[in-house]
Amino acid sequence: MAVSTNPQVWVIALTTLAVYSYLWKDNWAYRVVEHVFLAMSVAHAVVLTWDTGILPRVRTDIIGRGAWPFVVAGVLGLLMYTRLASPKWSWLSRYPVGLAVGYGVGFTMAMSPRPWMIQLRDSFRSLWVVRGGVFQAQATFNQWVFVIFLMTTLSYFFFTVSHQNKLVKGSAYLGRYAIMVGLGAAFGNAVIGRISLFLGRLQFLLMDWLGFVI
Amino acid sequence: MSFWERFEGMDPRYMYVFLALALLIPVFRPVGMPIAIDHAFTQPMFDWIERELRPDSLLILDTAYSPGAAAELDPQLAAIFRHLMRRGHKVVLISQWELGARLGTTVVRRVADAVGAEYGVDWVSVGWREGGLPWMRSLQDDFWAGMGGVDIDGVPFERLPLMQRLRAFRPGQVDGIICFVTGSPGAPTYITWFPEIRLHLGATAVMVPGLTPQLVAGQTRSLLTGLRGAAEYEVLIGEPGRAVKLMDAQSLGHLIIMALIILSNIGYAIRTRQGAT
Repeated sequence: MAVSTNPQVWVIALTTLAVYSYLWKDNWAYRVVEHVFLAMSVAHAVVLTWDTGILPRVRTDIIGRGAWPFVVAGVLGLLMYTRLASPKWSWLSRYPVGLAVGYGVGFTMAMSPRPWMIQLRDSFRSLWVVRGGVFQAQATFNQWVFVIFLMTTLSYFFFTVSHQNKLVKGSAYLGRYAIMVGLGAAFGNAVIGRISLFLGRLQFLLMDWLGFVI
Repeated sequence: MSFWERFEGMDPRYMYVFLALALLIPVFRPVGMPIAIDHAFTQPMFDWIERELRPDSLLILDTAYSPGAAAELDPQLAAIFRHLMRRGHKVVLISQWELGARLGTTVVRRVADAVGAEYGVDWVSVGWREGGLPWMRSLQDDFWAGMGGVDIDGVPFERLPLMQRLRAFRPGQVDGIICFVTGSPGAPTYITWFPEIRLHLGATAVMVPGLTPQLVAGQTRSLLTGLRGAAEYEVLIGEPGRAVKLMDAQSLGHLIIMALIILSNIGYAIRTRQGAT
């Protein structure tokens, strides 16, 4: 066991412990780390935007290459701030917003339906699976489970027909259980994730900080 | 006060301490519980790299995650990169998340040093660029222009031999994509805009239920599940590492949580019945 002498490792270890201390009780160490984290995130975002967004456009593209259309984009971007400057000029901010929304919709509509269509097509399943002339009982069972749970889940969110109708009511009831199974799986995986995160920190504290050989 | 009433009123902080201590024991003394391979989620990734990819293939690895997901995705990335290098493939590391670029490069550099992979020849990290989806789309036309012609550390592509093979992010130049995802942007970028290139995913466990329909529909060919997926992959390539070591603790943690859920429900049922009578 050889405790780390690297100051960076010590900072990481102590801030990790400070964050976990919240589980026991809210305290000043946790609040200090929380504020430092928030401040660093904001500072990082600002520097990143300046360094990778604004500077390269101005220095490399506009001044270096003479790509003047970027000036138009810059002016449009600045118009966003007119809503902060004065109510008299705030209407100008609608131009960049409109442009951004229009561009976004067009960009998305060009390709986005395709992935959903593929999944929709996949939901059309054979309910009698035969492979190489042999009936596949387990695969057939799986297909039935899939189709029944798909239809009953959809019926749970289907409000065009009143849920007083016996068929819709029964179907929606089963659909509710299907949703619960799905949410249960998501919860189980979330627990896996949280424990993995804790184990990652634990490994850092034990190996990198305290120097245990595991 | 009955046992169940005391159990229900227990301070949750004791549970945290108990869980933390319980997880510590298997970290120090792993039991070596068997790790079964998931044939629908994990095995296709291994088979693809091991058997289907032609030699000297060029793959894009996207580290679309932040430090919060590193505990789950770093071991996946390390195991897969190790496998790719062993099979003689080439890797270009990119990231849709700015923090993922540096995280992924750190992990890959460590593995590359261990296996003797040469930077610029066997792998290159091009990093992250501002611009979101339009930036990714621009790489389909001109990868060099979209990346500004430099790697993550500002080294010009002209000085990196591997980059001569990658002029556009298109089939024919790119043989596959492996994306490590923890949210958005992530898998939808490739599913929507790069459907002609084969996609494989490594995901945090919490993402998996949402991504499973895409696996079933064939939009992604495999899906590694968090630390568990990394452990399975380490077993598949025959090099147990960090993920395998932690799986015992992971399993014990689950057992404890399941036991607590069952006990809580028994207590609830008993209390409800007593209330009814």
